[in-house]
Amino acid sequence: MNKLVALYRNEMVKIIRKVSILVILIVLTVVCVAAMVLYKISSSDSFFADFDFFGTDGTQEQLEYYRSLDQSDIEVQAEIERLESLAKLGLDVYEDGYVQECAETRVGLRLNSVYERYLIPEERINELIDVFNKAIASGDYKACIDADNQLHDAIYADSRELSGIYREVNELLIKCDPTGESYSVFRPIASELAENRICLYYDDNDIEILTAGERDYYLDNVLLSTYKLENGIDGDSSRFYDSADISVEIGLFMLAILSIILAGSSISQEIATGSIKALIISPVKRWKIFAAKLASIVTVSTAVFLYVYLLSFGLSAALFGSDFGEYIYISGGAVHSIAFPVKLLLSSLLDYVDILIYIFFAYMLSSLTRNTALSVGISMAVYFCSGLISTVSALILNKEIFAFLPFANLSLSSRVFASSSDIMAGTQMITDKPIIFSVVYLAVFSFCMLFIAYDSFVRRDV
Amino acid sequence: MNAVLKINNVSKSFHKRKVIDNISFEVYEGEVFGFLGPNGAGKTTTIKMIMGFLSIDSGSIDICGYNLNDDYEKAMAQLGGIVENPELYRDLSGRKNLEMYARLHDGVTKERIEEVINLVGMANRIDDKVKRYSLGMKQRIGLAEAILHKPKILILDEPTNGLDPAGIKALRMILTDIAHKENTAVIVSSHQLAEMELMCDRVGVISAGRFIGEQPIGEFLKSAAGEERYIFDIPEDSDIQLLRDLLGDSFVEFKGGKLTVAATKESVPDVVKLLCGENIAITGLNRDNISLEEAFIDYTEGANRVE
Repeated sequence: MNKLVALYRNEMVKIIRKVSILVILIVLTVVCVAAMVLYKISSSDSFFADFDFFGTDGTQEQLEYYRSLDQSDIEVQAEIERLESLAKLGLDVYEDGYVQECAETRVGLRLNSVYERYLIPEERINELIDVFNKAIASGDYKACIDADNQLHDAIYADSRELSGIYREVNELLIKCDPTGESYSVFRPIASELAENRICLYYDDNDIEILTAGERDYYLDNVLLSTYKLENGIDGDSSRFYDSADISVEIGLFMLAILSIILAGSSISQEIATGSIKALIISPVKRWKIFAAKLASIVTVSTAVFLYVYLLSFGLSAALFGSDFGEYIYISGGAVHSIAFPVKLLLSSLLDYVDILIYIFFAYMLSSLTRNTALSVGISMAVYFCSGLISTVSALILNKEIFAFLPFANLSLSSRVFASSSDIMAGTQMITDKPIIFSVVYLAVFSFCMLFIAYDSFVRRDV
Repeated sequence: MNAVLKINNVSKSFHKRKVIDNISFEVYEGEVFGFLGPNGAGKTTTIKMIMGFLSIDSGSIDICGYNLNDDYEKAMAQLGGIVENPELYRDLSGRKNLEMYARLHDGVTKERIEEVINLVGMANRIDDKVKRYSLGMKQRIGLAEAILHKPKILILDEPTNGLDPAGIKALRMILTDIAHKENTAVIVSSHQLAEMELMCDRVGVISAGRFIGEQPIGEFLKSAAGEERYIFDIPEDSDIQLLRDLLGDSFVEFKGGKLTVAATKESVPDVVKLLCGENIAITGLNRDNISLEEAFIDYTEGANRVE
């Protein structure tokens, strides 16, 4: 045991004395701090006060474009009507808002005779267009929401329950966003809530059957979205969280580079320079040398991880105050919340698991190839291209086979903490396997890599 | 005398080519053992097997009674060595390198580290980073590391590579000191036969992976030479026929005032009497030392011819 501790201590001395490590740490600190400071500057209200990115120019530009087209085209006419309404109110066509949404829905109503988007009688369409005209002209968001309610009343004329779902959700929306200024935050939550409730309604009435998994998913989502609207919280981020998250992401990226270099050069560099000779001659079994090297790499890597987290947390708290906000999630059929710093730590730890896997991979290559350029080069290439390799493999391979590739089982944090928009887009559904499968897979995979590394180092001649 | 190293029927192959073929020999405590052999004979391979770099295909190696396979750590604790050039950690000082090495051995105190630094003559540069050292300094630190834990066996493979004559002499003095004062067995493998001749108590010869033999150095030289010879300095114009008749079979050659006679230490006075009896003036007398190089070449060529 003493020898193992002595070896570990020696390895730590060797790593800490490397100038390259210090350089990477300094660069990491500078970049993380810069990112948080820039975010602070750009997120302040006064920052964009003098900027007028789009103003009505975007609206005007589009108007000019449509006016240059064939004016007899009904689509062109509908778009011009939309843009003129926005221009009158001085609204930005590129920004989202209740009035802009209303204006787009009116385009759909205008073109219904061509595209038959809404299965509503023609006279009702004209009545609705009138309602929308008034709502848009008023620029009042509550009028726009009321127009939306009337539209759904018409669509679901045969089912009060379905149109009732939209009305209930819109009421919640008005309560949680009384000024109508948080469209981009709460409108998507309300839309998702309504759609999820519709799906459950269809399932309850055997119109469209859901699987047990799908039903659970929608039920959880309804709980979550309702909670968010009732309490007027987004639950997905706060300024503190956004700032700290950017910093942690950058920090972990640099940590991955640092860790790959350390692990990839560990055994191979000593063999190449010949300094391994002193270790081999020492009265310590080779497995102890192997273990001490690995332990020192993991120690330094973990220490830098903690440094990244504390730096990100500390500076973000200093810049944005201690109103951290809370992350909302469902567990066991109930809504729970954890403070964002805790969520950040947990999701960062899951990201750190990925880095550990790359450490083991680079360490294995270092032992196997005894060539630093090869082991660091291959590890870096795989790390940087992992997204591409993963996407291409998912497209080419059968889903069952893909599930057994390492790439399908990394990125645990984006699976555990999937945001609802990720789920809706299906971007996190890269594998259907449960999280526990991936955890076991990664454990077994790590063991295999370390065993190969161990066998290569301990049994081969030096 | 205690055998501190026992090589028992050791063989090693690389890619089905046998490089070490059933070698056996012993080294005793307190002696300087010279390991000789032509290039590619297997000296470095044998040394690397003893020091744990290479595995043994068959046979066994015992260090101070500990089998290298069964009691690896106990065996290696008795060993110190340098294989080829010592490689140190360049960004650390000489002292830090020694401290790191000391941590891996039991019982190495700070005092011992200081003692060894002084022994190898590095006291004034010990705190500089290794990347600023010359090759000779690195060799000295390498040697310091090797003897730090007072090993029973010190193995040096080509230790004089890159050293100047003063450095070679200094190394010889240190090694002889270590062997005889600390009772450490020193095994030296080198091409510097002149140095080996000055340093070694016994030599072992390996050729083409086979161990030819081991002998005390004097006997080695003697057996290669076949007989002892003495050289007398006498007048150049001495009558060679007279000398042949006088000395008979003991006469070897007479050239340039040097008369070579086959004789033992005990019979030298008789030869002196014979020459003085004929009024031949003797101005000098020396033993004719066959060099280690000649003995070595004869020995290995003889062994190869036998094969």
